[in-house]
Amino acid sequence: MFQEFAGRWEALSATAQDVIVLCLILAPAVLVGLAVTFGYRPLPLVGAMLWRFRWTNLMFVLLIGTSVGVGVGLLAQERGLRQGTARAADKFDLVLTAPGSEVTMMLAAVYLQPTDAPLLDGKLFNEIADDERVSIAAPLAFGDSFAGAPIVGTSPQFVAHLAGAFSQGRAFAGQYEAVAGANAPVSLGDQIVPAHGFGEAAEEDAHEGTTYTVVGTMNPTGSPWDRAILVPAEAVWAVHGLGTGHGPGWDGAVGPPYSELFFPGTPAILVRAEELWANYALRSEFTRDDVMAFFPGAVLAQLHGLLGDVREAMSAIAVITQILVTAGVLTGLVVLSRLYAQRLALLRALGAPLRFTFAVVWSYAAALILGGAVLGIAVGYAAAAVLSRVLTARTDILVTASLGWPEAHLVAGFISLTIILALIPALSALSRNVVRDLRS
Amino acid sequence: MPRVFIAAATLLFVFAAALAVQAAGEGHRGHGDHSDHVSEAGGLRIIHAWSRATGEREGFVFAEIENWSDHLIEFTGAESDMAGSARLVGFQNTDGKLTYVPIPSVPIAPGKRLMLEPNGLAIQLLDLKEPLEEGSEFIAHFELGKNEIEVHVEVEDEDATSHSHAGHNH
Repeated sequence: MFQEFAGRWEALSATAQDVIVLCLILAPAVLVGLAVTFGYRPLPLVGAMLWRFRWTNLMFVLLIGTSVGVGVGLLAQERGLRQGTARAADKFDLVLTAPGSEVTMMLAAVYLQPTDAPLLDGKLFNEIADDERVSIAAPLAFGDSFAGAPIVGTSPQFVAHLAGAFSQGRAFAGQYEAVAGANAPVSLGDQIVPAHGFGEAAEEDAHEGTTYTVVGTMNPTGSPWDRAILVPAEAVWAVHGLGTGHGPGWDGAVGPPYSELFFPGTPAILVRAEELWANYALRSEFTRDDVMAFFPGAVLAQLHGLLGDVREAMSAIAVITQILVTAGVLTGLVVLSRLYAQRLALLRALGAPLRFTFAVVWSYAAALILGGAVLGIAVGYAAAAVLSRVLTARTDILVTASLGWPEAHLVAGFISLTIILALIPALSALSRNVVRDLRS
Repeated sequence: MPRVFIAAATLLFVFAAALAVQAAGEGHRGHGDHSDHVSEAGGLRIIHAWSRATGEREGFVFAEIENWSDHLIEFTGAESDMAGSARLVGFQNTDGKLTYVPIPSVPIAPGKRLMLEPNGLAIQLLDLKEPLEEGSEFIAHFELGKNEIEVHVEVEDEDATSHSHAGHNH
């Protein structure tokens, strides 16, 4: 029975499952609403109550809206950040480095965070580059920078793989030519002198006498590589007095094949295989004592797994915060209902049934909750958009956060729970003494 | 109203404590039998086959396969009575979506090994007939060329990242 149900559920599309879950979460609120208002039309009176104390009501709606919006915005942002970081690593199928921390080397190779790393030698580079399953094996040589932008030595094949067509100019062909990421602080035709190192410790005059000419600008990739300046690995090696990676009689054409004997070493090698299965075979074969092979996507998934717990904690905190704010608002409504006490007592004295008065007070509270929830969605959308821009500017990782089904479920859960809680002020309004309220 | 919150907080605390006690109990449960960590046939060795405990209808089997034969072997997948179906899958990053995609087969050259591991290559079990309980074991058959090798799959913790005997020499 359960197996059959589970089978049918899994056969549904993801959207259909989300819609059904949303309806199920909202169902208690709808059922309570129908039960409370059955046979009555309390809305005109509720509208009048909302207008009569509009500023107080507006304050309540703003309070609920802000708490819902912050929760929704943060959750959307966390998902946007996860997708953004994964998208930024999309072009990095398999990375080879010296054995060590996969996380550190992923941050260095994919997100260009400076680190000191041991080098892989020419024998190993040629072993992977000559493998018939490999279509691209590119050295990634870090260490220099210009105006805060990292300079990375690599091959023309990697440049083509990373950004495809150029927005301006062409790929580097000469040893001291450079191509710029879409947001790098250089323009086509600029001549730049690299600094040794990165950040405040960079030595501006360490490579005086070396000049790169920017010959192309890449299309945006949505990754930290958009701020990078890419040059031939031969130039980075030569600038550091390590030769060019090619033997005597080199014709000046940059890129592989490199000479095993004259290869100075590289902290990381980007590997791409045409066949998907080959990546797994290569990972298995190049995980050994002298080399480490890892999928940045797999390392990210591990990190996201840790973040998953944080996300659950954030969701719980968001819901608790929203419920606390709403509980505060509903407590306020209990107090506020004293303001309506005379009017409600008059209604009942005129012959209005007890359930009608109950329906009016509940509908009034429900209207504030729904108004707050709708405002919360708008606040959440705006918060996610602003946070995305800030994160993108600070990390160079394109983060695009938009509200999705998880947020819809969160808001629906909030509505359902608080609309049931709204029965409390309605009940408290009923328990008042009509005669005393009429005299007050 | 404060009573409601105190009652809710107490309930939450009791629930969390119950979960912690359960988790601690599961952490101390060990494997019943450690004798089936290696399966061999036709020059092929399958070492440390394992799976994560799960109550879902989907699970994954990981292992290390070594080809000590003198010819290339095509690894096409596996099957198990525990699942309605099983297939070879690979973890992939496609435009920011990290998911497993089906892989038809992977050749293993003579003298080479292939690692099946979380967030990499794996056997995906679909329509699991019963939950995979930590500490239990089930049988799977790995399809390697003409060989169909019986493998004892040990079920590890739901958050495990490797076989509990990973690193041991067999």
